[in-house]
Amino acid sequence: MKILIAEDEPLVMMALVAKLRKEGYEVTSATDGREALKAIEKNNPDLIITDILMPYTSGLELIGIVKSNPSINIPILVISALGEEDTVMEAFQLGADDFLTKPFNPVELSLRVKRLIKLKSPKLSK
Amino acid sequence: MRDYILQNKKVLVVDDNIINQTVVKHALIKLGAMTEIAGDGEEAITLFRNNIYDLVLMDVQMPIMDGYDATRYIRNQLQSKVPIIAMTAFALKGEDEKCLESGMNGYVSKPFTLESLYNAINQVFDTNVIVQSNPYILTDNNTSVDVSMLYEIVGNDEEYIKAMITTFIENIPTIVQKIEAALANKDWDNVAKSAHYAKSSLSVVKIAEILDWIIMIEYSARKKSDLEAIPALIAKVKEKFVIVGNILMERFSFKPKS
Repeated sequence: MKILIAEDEPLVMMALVAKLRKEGYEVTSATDGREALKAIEKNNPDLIITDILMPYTSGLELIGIVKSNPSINIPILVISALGEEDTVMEAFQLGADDFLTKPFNPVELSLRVKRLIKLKSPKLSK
Repeated sequence: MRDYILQNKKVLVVDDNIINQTVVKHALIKLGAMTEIAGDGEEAITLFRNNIYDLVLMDVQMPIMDGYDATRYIRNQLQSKVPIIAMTAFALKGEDEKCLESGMNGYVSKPFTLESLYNAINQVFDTNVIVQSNPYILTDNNTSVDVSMLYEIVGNDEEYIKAMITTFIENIPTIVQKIEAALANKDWDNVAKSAHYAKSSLSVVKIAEILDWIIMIEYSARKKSDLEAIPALIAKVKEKFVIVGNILMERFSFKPKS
């Protein structure tokens, strides 16, 4: 299972990468939305985890682009910071599938990731 | 005096409602807590098995496993004496007894004020002298640095943890410089943006006071209110960060070459 992480803050990125690699996921990282879009095209990930505020293309723009493209079916988990509640609602309106607030709990992260991936492909056959 | 009753305390919030989760989390952060959230009793127990908490705030009505059952499980199966405060929807008759019977230590009725939450916590802490201490909270010089998340995530890979600590130690001063530069130009938008960015770093290596000051800086800059308070807040952050740097360098033995 492939996960793409879009996050511009290096420490949060290191934490996410370490946790998800340990869980056995194949992890690609992007430090802004523009890079993330390129990575989506190239790797076709099973899940996108994105921050909201990022340079060039923001997390919201990224969600908008991915979710308005009918040929892409990838769940999106938003990682927001404290005080971004309004923006989280906007992210949901754009089609984000779930969210987690920083500081996030590593166990909660892996539970949510597992659930989103399961929802996307409930049965591997057919 | 209700400042930071939960300073350096790890609190688990168990609630199935996303709005409530956010509201409660923010109230707890105002009291200095580090919070984690579970969406139902079962999730709470999964988190509970892997973490040490100082306090649990438990909604009583939840799908899958309700607050009473989760409390009983925590008390009986997990043998934990962690203080548990129920969050009840109404002051329903008999609800309080039901909470206490299941093993909870206190309760607040939703919607609650910060004051009533504080009072409930105060009461529970007063009668529960046992406060678990977390080995990953490094304390010195009136300053606490919580690095438990690094260990939870990385495990025993000390090298990776050191790399993360190095990133943190380098990152914060750079962000502070950006805040100062933006401040000098009265560029409030970028003051807010940089402060916002700092919050992310502080969500991994947790320092309650610095996070608080950074949140105040971001808020002031965003609302353009209380702007004259910002320089003093930056000074506090810098001063505290010197102590934090020393604590981290000591613990992770980055010794200056002599």
